[in-house]
This record gives sequence, C-alpha cells and structure tokens, in this order.
Amino acid sequence: MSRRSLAIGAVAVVLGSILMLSLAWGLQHAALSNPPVLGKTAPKLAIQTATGDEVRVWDLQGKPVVLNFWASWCGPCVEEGGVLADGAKAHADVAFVGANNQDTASGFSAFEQRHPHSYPAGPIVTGTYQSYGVAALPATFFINSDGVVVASFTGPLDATTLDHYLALIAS
Amino acid sequence: MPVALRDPALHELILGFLGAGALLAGLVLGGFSALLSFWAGWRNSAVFVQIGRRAFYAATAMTVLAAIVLETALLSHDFSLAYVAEHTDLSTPIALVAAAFYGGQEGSLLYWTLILGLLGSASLIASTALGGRVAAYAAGILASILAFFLFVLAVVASPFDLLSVTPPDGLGLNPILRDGGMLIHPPVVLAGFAAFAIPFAFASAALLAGRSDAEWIRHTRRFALVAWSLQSTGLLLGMWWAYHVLGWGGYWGWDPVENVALMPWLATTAYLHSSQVQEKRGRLRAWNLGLVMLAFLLVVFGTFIVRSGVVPSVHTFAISAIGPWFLGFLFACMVFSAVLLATRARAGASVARRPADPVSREGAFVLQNVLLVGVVAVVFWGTVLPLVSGMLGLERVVGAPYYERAAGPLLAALLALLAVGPLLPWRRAGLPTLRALRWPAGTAAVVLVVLAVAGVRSPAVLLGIPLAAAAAATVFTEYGRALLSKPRSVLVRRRRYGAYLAHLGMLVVAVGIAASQGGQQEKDVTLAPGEQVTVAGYTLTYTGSGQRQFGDHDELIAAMRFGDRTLEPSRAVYAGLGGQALTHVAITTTPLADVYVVLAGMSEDGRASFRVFVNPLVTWIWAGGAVIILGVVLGNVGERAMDAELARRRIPITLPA
Repeated sequence: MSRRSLAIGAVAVVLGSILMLSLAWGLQHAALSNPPVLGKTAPKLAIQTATGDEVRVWDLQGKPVVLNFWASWCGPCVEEGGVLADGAKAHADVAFVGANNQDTASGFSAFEQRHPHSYPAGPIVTGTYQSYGVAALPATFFINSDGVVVASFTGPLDATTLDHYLALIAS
Repeated sequence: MPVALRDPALHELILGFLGAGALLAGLVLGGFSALLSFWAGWRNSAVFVQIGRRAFYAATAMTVLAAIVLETALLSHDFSLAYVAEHTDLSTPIALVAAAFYGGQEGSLLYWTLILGLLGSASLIASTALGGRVAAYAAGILASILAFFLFVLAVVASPFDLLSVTPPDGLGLNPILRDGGMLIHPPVVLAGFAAFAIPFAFASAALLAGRSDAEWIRHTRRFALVAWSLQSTGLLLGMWWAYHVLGWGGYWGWDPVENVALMPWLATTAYLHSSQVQEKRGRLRAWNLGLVMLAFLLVVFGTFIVRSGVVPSVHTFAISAIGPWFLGFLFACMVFSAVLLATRARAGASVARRPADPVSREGAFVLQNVLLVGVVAVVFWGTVLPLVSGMLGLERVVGAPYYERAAGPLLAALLALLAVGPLLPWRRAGLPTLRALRWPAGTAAVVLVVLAVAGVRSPAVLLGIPLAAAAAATVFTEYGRALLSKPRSVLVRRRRYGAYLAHLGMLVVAVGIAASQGGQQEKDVTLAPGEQVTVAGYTLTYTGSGQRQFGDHDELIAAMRFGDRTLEPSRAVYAGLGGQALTHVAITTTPLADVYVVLAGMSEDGRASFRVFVNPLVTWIWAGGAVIILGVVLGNVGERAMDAELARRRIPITLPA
C-alpha cells in the first residue's frame, strides 16, 4: 500500500471517528433540543388533584419544578411512574407535578387507584399542554427556581436521565 | 372463531397482532434472503440466487400486509394501537387520518420500508441482465437493509404497540400537519430517501463481484434517476408547503432536516453527470461508485438526524428510542462502504491513460462534481457543527448567513458552468468552442446592464440572473443548432435534450431563488378597517374581520382588498387541541411577485396587525421545478425501448470511445 493511500485512509478514519463520536454525543444530549419553551418562562399551568386541591406551577417559584405530562392510557407513563416517585422522595426540595391530559375523568381516577401518585397530579385546569409543545406522552419539563424551563424530555425517564436533568435545575 | 371475531375488543387486538406478526415474518424472510443471496453470490449458484430473490419478494409482501393492517387500524379509529391514538383523533378529516400512516415515527419508518421493498423488488426483477453475481450481491445488500428496518419496526419502534387501556379518543394530528401538503410532501420525500438504497446496493454489488462496467452504470443510473426525481419533487413540494403554511415568508430555512434531504440530492446530481464520463469515456469509475455510496450514506445520516432528535429542528420526531440503532446502522454502512471502496475500487479502475484536457466536457463534469461535493461539505459542516462543537463544550450553531456565504459562490460557479459546460466537446476544446461561447457571454452582459439600469443593487440578483440567462442562452443555442441541422436528433438523442430541458428548469428555479432572496420586501402594520398599506408598490386595503367555523377548527379572518381580489389571512383555533392556534397565510400571485399576507393579531376595537411580504418571482421556483421533472421524464421514459429500436437500425447512440 502506497504512502498516499495510507494517508487518505488515516484521514478518513480520523474524520469518521470524529463524526461518529459527535453523533453519539448528540444522542446523549438529544432531549435538550426539543420545544420552543426552552430558556423561557414556563407557560402558565395549573392542575387539580383528586382531592380537589389546585396546584399552580407559577406559584411554585423559588423551588425547582419537574412537570410531567401523562395520561392513564399511556403505557410508558406507568413505566416511568416509579422513577418519578423515587426522584420526588429523594429530592424534597424539588416540586414534582403530574399534569394529566387527553384523558377522561374515570380514566384518571381509575389510574390513581391502581398507581397512586406520591406527588400532586391531576387534570390541567389552567393552561394547555400545547403551550409546552407536548406532541407525545410522557413528556417532562424541568423548570428552575426562577420559573425558567431549562430542559425537557420526551419519552419514559430512567433514573440516570432524571438525575442528569435534576442536576440542571438544582438551585 | 366467528363468535369471538364479533367481539369488537378482540377484533381490534387481532389487527395489532396481525401487523406485528407480519413485521416479524418479514424480518425472518429478509434475513433469510440476505444470507442466501450473499451465499449465492459467493458460490455463484443460480438456484440460491432465485431462492434469495423470492425470499426478498416474500419479505416485501409481509411489509405490504403490515402497511395494509396499519392503514386499516387508522381508518377504523382503532385507538387500542398506541400509534393510532397518538396521531389521530375522531375529528381529524379522513384523508389526514389516512396520511397519519407516515405522520409519526413508527408509521413513517414502515412507509420507508414499504417503498424500499417495492422499489427493491422492481430493481431485482430488472437486474437479470447484470449477470448472476452482481444481482445476487445486490439482493443480499437490499435484503440486509430491509431486514434492518424490519428489525427496528418489529422490536424497537413498532407501530403495532397496544395500549393497556383503549382511550375514547386520540391525541390528534399536529395542526401544522393538517394541510393538503401533508398528503403529498412526506410520501414523496420518504420514497426518495428509500430509493437511494437501490443504486447503493448495485454499486456495492458491482464492487463485491468485481464488475463495474457499462451495464452496471445503465442499471444504477436508472434507479439513481428515480431516486433523484422523487427527491427533487419532494424538496420542491416541501418548499412550497413551508411557503404556504409556515407564514414566515420564505421557503427554505437551512433547517437540519431540509439540509439532510438536500445532500443526497446534490451527491446524486453529481453522479448523474459524472456517470456520463464513464459511459462515454470509461473514466471516473471509482469516483462514480463513491458518489452513489455517498448519497446513501447521507440518507442514513439524515435518517439518524431526523429520527433521533440530536439537532434542534422543526421536523424532528418526538421519541428517540431508535437513535442508537440508526447510529449503529450508519457506522456499519460507513465501514462497509469504506472497506469496499478501499479494497475493490482499484480493481475496476480504468487503465492509466493520458489525463483529459482540463478545458473539455470531461473537465467540466469533474469541476461540476467538485463544486457539488463542495456544497455538500458546506451543508454537512453546518448540520453537524452543533454536535462537533457541543462535544467540545462550545455549542456553536450556524444560520442562513453561513450557508449563503459559504454555498453561494459555489452555486454561482455552478450556474456559470451550466452556461459553459454543455458547449465544450469531449476530450479537448478548440477555437470553434470559444466562438460558441459568444452567445451566453453576450446574453449575460446584456441582462446585467439591463438589471443595473433598472436600479437593481442586490448582489444575489446581479450575479444569479445574468448567469442563469447565459446558461439559458446555451440551452437555446444547443436546441437551435439541433433543430436547424438535424431536427430528428432531438428525438433520437432524447436523453441529452431532455437533460437540457431539465437544465432550463433549473435555471428558472435559480432565477426565482435569486430574485426572491435578493428582492424580498416586508412591512409590519396595524390597520383599522378602511385603512391602506403599500409595500413595494402594491397597495392593500383592510376591509374588516369575520368568524368562520370548520369541522375541527374556528377561523378568525381579516379581509384585505387587493385590486379586484380579496385576500383572507386568518388565524385558526383548534378547540380539540386545547385551543392551539395556527396562522393561515393569504397569497396572491401577480406576474412579477407574490403578495403574501400574514395576520399577526387582532385587537378588541377591530384593528388588525399584519405582516405583508412582497416576494418577487417565487412562482418561477415552482414552475421551474415542473420543467425539471418534465425534462427528466421526456428524456428517460421509454429510453430502453428507444435503445433497442436504434440498435436494430444500427444507429450508434454513443460516441465511439
């Protein structure tokens, strides 16, 4: 093999490796790139829990918020339920809110009986899930103590991913 | 069991299971076909070639079955399937429910696979002339790609996943997708993407079998042309749709997803030209193989970008579970192509000869290829920069100015080459050629003076339009020469004259792009009823507002009078989607420009805010696109029949080497 083809081969391998590495890096950080609310003040949203209490996301300022959109018919939402419950327990300084949407009242109450939330959860009574750009469930938004959306994640969370995002909004 | 079938719940479950089963069966058949076909190619066994090919057809049949099942589930509102519940609802119009088939991640992957199977089968049926080994390897590669997609569909992102509880209604389709454009743009672009796999399979097969001759070029070119035409149409439809729906006054935003659709198109444009050098002069074999492979690698790269959500874009799909799989697939394809090119391309390389004169048709094609690959490199760098810099902790993103500055000069050089290249003879250009250049050069000079006198100062217009005019003069010179001396030659050498027609279409597109980029004017105004606004000499009068109700949305309309026409820009509010609002643009076309009105807001007292654009010559882009496709179709449909006819009458259709 000539020196020239060796050089071409080496350049190709280096460039290819940089490309693959950066794509793999992108994959790890993919969810940071989602909807138009990132970096902006969280849109107004309030939910009503099964006991009738209203929880307003904008009233939680001063505390980081994990806002999770879910529905009773959404399988992956059940999957990540345990992860979120553990996260809420381990981070008492972070407010967890479960916004139920595209659901029926009976679906919601049946779900709460089977898999009760350990943090406030219920149907949206003020604001919309569209204002957060939610296109598929589950979707989770991470809001810092200033009320700014720092990150979002679509799809079921695992413990590592949740910790990664919690670190971003930790005060 | 007929009794059980009448139970609606079970009936729905059956659709889900049938679809998932078909995907699994397709996966097994695809894997089987890949193994048998590679074995057949290696051992040169005619029997196994047949079996491998039939297994591919069977895998395709399973994909067709899965597609039918998904469409049935969508049309019957079977919300027990997660895919149906997430992408449709009861209020979505039925045509859009059908289109939701390719509206989401899983369904669009199934659509991709379906087109790959169908076009792959067609290419295998047509490949018998290539000889057993090339056809066998091509079948093996196509089957491997098909099996990968079926694997992702069956295991990672199945459109047939069932919900534990069947919801009463679905989430509905994103309002931005609730448009006629949804019915045509995505299926064409996705089909284009899928089609690039076929030239890739045959290029790799030719290398594996050690055969990269003229017959290979003919076969590959035909399918590259299919992919190229689909992609051209898809890109234009996407531009048209963005222009009519998004309401920002433009049609191309250098969004990563637009970029990844453009890059394979550019690489294939280069291949379609350089393949002629191989056909006519036997040169550039390895380069041609490389371009075909590059186009497919760019498709896989693009699929990864679009579907994993790694870069911010308006198009990305929501859930990214398939990202790692596509990254692995991209890696495998890159290594496979690189190893194949490094070890096998030399064997088929042309014997060393005296290099061609730089000022010749060959030279023009090589320069055109270098420029196009240069544009690919610019676009590629802009697309991956957020990732490469992000990995290093820098977070750089480039916007339209980068692309315009970096790709603009290359595109201008390509326009100039369109004026000069077709006039250059093969091998070496002499004095007569230089004389022929007086028409395009003169035309460019005249157009430049006219534009300057008319007061045009935009560099894009002053550069783009004279060069396009020069290239048009070249096309007309060529047509004129043929029609005056041998009128029949336009029919006999239809590929050539069809290509010139496509060039002409490209120039019309270029003029439209230069004029609308360089000459766009916009104005933001707030008007009370009866008040007027004038933009670039076009006067519009706001006449008043009104409400209108549709099946799935309400519209707030503000009417504008423009001459004897009425423009009705509006804001649509989708009640079923929690009050999500969407702008509906009003566009009217005059011979010189589009008047494009967006309703920005409306106050209590009846005053309305508008953003008014005047976009010169945008319609030229759509018209030019139609001419390109017409040129490709006229130049190539029935080409084979024509070849046979000419062979019978012993008329040579290619220059002697």
